[in-house]
Amino acid sequence: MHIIDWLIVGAYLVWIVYDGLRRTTGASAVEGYFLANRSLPWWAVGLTVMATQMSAITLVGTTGQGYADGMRFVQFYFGLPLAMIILSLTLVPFFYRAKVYTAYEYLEHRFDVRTRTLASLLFLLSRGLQAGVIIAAPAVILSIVLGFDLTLTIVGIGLPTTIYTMFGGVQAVTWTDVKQMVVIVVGVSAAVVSLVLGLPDGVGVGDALSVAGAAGRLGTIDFRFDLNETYTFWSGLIGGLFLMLGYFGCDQSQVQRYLTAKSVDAGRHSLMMSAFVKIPLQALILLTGVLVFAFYLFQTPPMLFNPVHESEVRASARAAEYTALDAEFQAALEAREVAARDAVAARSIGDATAVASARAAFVERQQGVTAIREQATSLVREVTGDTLYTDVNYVFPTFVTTQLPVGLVGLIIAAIFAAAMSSIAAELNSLSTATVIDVYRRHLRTDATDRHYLRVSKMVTGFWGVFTSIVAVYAANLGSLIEVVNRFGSFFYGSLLGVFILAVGTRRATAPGALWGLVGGMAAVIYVAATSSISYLWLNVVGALAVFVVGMVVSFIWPSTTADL
Amino acid sequence: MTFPPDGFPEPGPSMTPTYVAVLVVEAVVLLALWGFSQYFGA
Repeated sequence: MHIIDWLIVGAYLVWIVYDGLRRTTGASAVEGYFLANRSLPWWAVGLTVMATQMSAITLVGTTGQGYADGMRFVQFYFGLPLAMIILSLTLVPFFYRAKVYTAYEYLEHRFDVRTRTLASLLFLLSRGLQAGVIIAAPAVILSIVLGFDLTLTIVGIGLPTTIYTMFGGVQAVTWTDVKQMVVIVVGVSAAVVSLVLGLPDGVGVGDALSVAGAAGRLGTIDFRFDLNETYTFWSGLIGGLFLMLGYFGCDQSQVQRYLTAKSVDAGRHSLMMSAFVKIPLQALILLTGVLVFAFYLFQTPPMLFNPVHESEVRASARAAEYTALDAEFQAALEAREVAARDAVAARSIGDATAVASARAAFVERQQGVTAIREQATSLVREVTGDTLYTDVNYVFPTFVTTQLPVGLVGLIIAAIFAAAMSSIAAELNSLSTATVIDVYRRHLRTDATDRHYLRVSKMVTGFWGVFTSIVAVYAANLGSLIEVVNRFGSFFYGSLLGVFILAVGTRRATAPGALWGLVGGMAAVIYVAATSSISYLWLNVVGALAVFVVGMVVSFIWPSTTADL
Repeated sequence: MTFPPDGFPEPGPSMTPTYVAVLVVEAVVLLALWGFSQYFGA
């Protein structure tokens, strides 16, 4: 990367830390530190909600998905707008009215302290580990693509984020998130413009998309009802609805964002921003990946986008095999480019028969390229022993650093840093809140001054920053297993959601019902995940329904000893 | 303890048009995505 790009990334990091630290004046009491005194405007909260959800691995992973698999991943978000409406009508006003700091605090209002503590500990466990992965995953990619030391990259992401989150609290998190969201959108938009301008003469955007469509990259909606298929219209709409209800309604990292809004309606409007914008934004990011695919139809891509794994194979006993595959790959690329140009030419003439014939020829060439890439991937897996290896997450950063002009590279790398830091800051902030409010202030030290709790809150934020960075260093060595760990957190959402459904959905649910329902739901999710191959999106439905059924049965058998009504 | 604490919140009629707009926009976006993929021959 050019020195100017490094300067842009460095300037971005300094600016973000400075901007975050400027917010420390609002953090002179616990409510200000964790909830900004419930004073923030809806649009700032809406942007921080979106920035929190969009981690760096979402940004680079989604563009990579667009490149390798097309746009069907967009279906993952189909349940989000419905979830936002349901939450605005149900949990959001309940949280506001109860004046809680954490979502789990509400469970004590409704049930008992055991349910609250268990839910909070589940959050701390899953999010504490996942925050490490959120740092590790982009750090591994950036360190490989930029040729930078891995541990230093982890520190480069984790340290500045910890500093401004620790001293500035939620004000720093929110206002830096606002700016980071702008950096992300500008970065992605700049990439799209560059890709369009980078198409060869005579190939328009419509032509590029048409060829990408022939290669199956523009399939957006799959109406098949198949529980084993990860991304379909139904898994996105139903499974995604439960996932988003759990994520935005029961995960403190999101709940805390909208609890900072200055009114119930401001909180609701902040969620509506995601409801309106999220699907189009994700479609744009996926389309960026599709355009990278179209770009590489006319430029030579690497056979594999992870240079470290490639080097390992080239240094192994099977190097000759890899070299032979690479030669085949180059020939297949040339044939594919000719076929792509033929398809574009046929489209410009407008003869339907010629277009169909040219598209069929292109598809055949594309299949040849894909088959060689799959062979190369298998070879990497066999040589490195990393059976889950895939280079999808390396596609976009490799494109950026090798194809874009100086200056733009720095901007987009800064956008990837922004995506990572905005998510991590919200995680640290919410981990600290749950630790202090649900554990320390509730169980360990119940009668201290606000000043004491504020001091502890800052120390706990710092602790989580160090802890997650250490987890990141270890997680970075998991290789492609990181992806699995990253999905692990979603195993909890359905069960947590089930408890909140019991809380606000029925009068009959009792504290023992909620507690045992939560335990039963977790067991059901683990059992189904271990014994079936259904898409993980459906596990959210399983968890929520299991908690509700077990919770209601226990509530009937074992009524609460206190008055629940 | 009351169910839920402090009773059910007041319904927010002012938000209803926004919710309807969200649903309409989602329907339009999904249709656009579907049309987009059909047009480019996915």
